[in-house]
Amino acid sequence: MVDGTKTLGIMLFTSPYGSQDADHVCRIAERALDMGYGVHIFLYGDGVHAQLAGQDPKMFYNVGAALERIAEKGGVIKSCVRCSQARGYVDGGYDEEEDRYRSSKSLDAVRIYSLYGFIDIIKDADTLITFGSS
Amino acid sequence: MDYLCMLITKPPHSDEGAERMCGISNAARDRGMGVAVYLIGDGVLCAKRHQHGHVGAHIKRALERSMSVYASAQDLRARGIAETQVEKGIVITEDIEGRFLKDAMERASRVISW
Repeated sequence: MVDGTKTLGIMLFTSPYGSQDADHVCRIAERALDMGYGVHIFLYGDGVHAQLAGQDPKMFYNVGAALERIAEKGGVIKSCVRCSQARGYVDGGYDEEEDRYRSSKSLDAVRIYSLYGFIDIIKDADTLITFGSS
Repeated sequence: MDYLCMLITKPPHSDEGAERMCGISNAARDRGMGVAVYLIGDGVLCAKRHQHGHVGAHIKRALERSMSVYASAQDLRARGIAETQVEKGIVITEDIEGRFLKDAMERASRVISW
């Protein structure tokens, strides 16, 4: 029996397709949601590349599609605004109504957010796991 | 009893990830903690029998010391590793994510991932 009030926090530091880190993040997040846990993912550093819209891998697990499924199931996915800006994802200002930075290149499922999103996970998650850090 | 849950995605012999797992899990056991090790992705290469070097010896010792070691069936298949090539005592599971989450969310006092 799982405690459905608990939240799993996951941080991803590496880009998809270069390693399986993003695959592991998505598989664990989807399973956690199916088991009734809350899920909060933060993309940081090269991990923000997971938010790219239009991913279409022919031979690999589709990380973009998985992130969309995770958001549909209630998972919260944020990415670091500084890391996203450095990699060309932010092409608009801050949208107060939606509490996110605008991007035409990112999945709707992912909210580009300040570094406070990182701190919120550390504070709020019952269990925190990281992928791609050394 | 305090319980440590370790998620390993790195292969042995390529960087320090699997080596750290060996040192930390043993130290945790020495301090009286329960330990479970979950091998996913390239981490399942740590599960192979007859390995030379520190990681293979550690896995055998971990099992002797009552640590639980689980390996992803899907990731073993993806790498062409048959069950007969896996160290005896390692639990091979199709639902590694579910097993890990039950332990990590409901039982473990600490979770470490590499």
